[in-house]
Amino acid sequence: MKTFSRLIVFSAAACMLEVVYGADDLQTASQDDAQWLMPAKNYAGTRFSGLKQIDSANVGELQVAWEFSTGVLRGHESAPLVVGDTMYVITPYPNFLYALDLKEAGALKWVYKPDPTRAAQGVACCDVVNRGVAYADGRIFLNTLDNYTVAVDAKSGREIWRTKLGDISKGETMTMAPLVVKDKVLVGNSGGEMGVRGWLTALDADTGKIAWRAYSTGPDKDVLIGDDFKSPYAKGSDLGVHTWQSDQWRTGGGTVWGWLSYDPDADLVYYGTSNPGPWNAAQRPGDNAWTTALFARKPETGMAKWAYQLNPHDLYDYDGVNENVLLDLTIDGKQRKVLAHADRNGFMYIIDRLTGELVSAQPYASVNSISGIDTKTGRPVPVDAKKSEQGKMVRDICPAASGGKDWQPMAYSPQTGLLYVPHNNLCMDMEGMHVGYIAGTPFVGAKVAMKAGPGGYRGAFTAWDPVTAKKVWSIEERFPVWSGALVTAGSVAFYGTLDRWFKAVDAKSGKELWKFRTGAGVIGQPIAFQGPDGKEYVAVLAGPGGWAGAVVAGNLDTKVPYGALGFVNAMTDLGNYTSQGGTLYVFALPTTTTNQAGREPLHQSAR
Amino acid sequence: MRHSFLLMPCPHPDPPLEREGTREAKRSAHFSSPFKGEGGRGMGKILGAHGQQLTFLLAAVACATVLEASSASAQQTQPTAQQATTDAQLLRFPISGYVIGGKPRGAAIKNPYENDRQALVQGRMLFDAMNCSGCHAAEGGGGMGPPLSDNDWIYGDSPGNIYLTISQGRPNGMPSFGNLGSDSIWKLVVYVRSLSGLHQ
Repeated sequence: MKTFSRLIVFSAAACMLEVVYGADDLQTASQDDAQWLMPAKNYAGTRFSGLKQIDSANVGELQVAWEFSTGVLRGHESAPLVVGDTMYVITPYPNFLYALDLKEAGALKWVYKPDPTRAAQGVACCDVVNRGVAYADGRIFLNTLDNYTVAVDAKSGREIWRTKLGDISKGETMTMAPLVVKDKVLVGNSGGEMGVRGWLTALDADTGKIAWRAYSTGPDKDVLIGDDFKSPYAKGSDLGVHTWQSDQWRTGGGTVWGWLSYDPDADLVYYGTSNPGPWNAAQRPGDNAWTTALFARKPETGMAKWAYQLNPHDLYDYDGVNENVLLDLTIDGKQRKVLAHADRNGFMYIIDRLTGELVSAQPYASVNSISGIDTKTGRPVPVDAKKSEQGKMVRDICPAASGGKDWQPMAYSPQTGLLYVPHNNLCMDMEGMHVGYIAGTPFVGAKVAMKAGPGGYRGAFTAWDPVTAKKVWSIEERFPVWSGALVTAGSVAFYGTLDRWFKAVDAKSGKELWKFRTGAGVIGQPIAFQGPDGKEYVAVLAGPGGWAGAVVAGNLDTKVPYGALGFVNAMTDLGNYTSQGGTLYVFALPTTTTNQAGREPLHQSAR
Repeated sequence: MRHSFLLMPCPHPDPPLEREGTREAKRSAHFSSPFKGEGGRGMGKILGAHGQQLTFLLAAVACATVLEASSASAQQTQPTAQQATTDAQLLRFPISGYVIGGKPRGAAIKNPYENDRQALVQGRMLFDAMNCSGCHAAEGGGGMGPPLSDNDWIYGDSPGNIYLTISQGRPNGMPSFGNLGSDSIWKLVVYVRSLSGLHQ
């Protein structure tokens, strides 16, 4: 049935020469489980696939179908996309975009090389990663490390337009995955460690012209706050100016390097902003709005509907950029439209996505820096003994700067009603130090040394019930689980580890069902799709890096604790488990042995 | 007295006043040296890639200037960088260890602050003040930039190599700090080499 309807779609598409799905149809098209049209699978960001050929009974038989070496050895955080019979894979800098033919076991169709400025590598805070591309209207949209958004023809790999959005000499880079909503491509900048002023920008998908830009700091007219704006926990105008000393908001961070989600019914786009700059909070008195904040905006105009600052006057680099998974839940007998947000501060926020009001917030990770979230004010209740200070090394702050969870996106299964959360178990010693702003150099001002959290393990994969706000089960891992999560209707959840495992666990019990030894550590986002042969496949990129894996990706010195903004201290042994790498793995069940027979020899990995 | 002077904290700048450039960004130049003119007065102007001017108090340079003045008052032979190594010598200095035609012409390049403990202290202050520590981490463990505390030197470990790396910048992300002035750069060289136990 599914295959049949799919055939119709694609025969029709082939007749129409080019266009497969228009941007307006993405909401519908993303429900097709044969494809994976955006990094988070759908606008709600659930990373749930309805495919169930691979299930908890047979996943143990999963095998490699084919591999592809990306030719790049830095942190591979991105999710492949599957559009029709083609898979699209973007690499870390230099941001190669590959198109692979799924009819031919991943034969290379074309590669697009955007040729980013080499110097951009020097202003990327935490490895030179890229988190994925977007698709609409026969085009792939990508961000380059040196701040271009590019539209590429999905069929030919030809560049259609490129627009420059930021400036590396100010410390800006772009690493996030764009999201296409209606006729606009939404993108944000990175550089919260460089004194960058954060923004979300909408480009016309057709022409690449900038439609609007919403800054995270500064006056309301820059933040695109108008009459329709209602913040449940903050009152007053121009808070993006008044909650800072003098003009500090101009170099105050609030970058938009994480995830975007979209509710077509409410017509609202959701995302979070980064830490304020510098990390040394003593240098920036005030709440520092709207850093570490969630925004809901109208995609047409960019105007904000609501905002919620999660960590006013952030003391620990607790960015608010983590994904917002849009869920319709029955909580206390009431039907609620909420978003689930596992913040860096270690709390799982459930927020009414229409109003921005807090529904619940409970810790999903080890936390001692805040004792809870005040439901009246929406603010964390600080623990004085763990407040970071200038000139004083405060010991054992949990979570560490990298958070209870960092960028690594969770998944949600409507079948189990659970969130699957890849996360960290890290604490840190932190000392604030005065830092001067020099454009294009780091604006951090902190000495940090991270370490394993309580229990001695450094990461976990946790199933969380968003209704009861409780942990259901948790799997301890040696290293921070820096990969994304995937969950399928086969009742299997997938994730990867930095010590070279790609794992499948039972979505209900968390029992390990299968694991595969990858060539290098995994921090990519797994996806599922149905190949042209009707089989279900699971794909993931291996290649360690990102902030957690920087010690290996950047060959950092393990003798010095402060490397990679303090992450090195927690990862000194990573090099004993993995070297650098960059390989795509595609897995399938072995049942149909004819799937690849008689074709070109399979790609061998470049391990 | 000199010691107490050195222990004085450097003045800290207020955050910069930044005039917003055009939103429509043009294809811009690569990293260009940020410091143009007006050096030594503590008030610097940075020319952004868009040509808009970013003005700020460059306390670090003021600090370095003070430090240099204090150093100059010391009972040293006061070698200026220009005396120690000419620009021509520096330009002939090979980055590669593989030289066609045998040894390069000219004498080996010496750091005028070789074995100067004062310069080591000043180099360390500059390392923080110029945010070198932001990229290469406190104690040079590395992060955005490569580590300086290990024995792996991408562009060479000799004083001349390191001087040129700081002064010219390098294409994979190392900015050019050429406008810091040669005295400050030689002091940074002393400190950078000390991070991996290379004594100078």
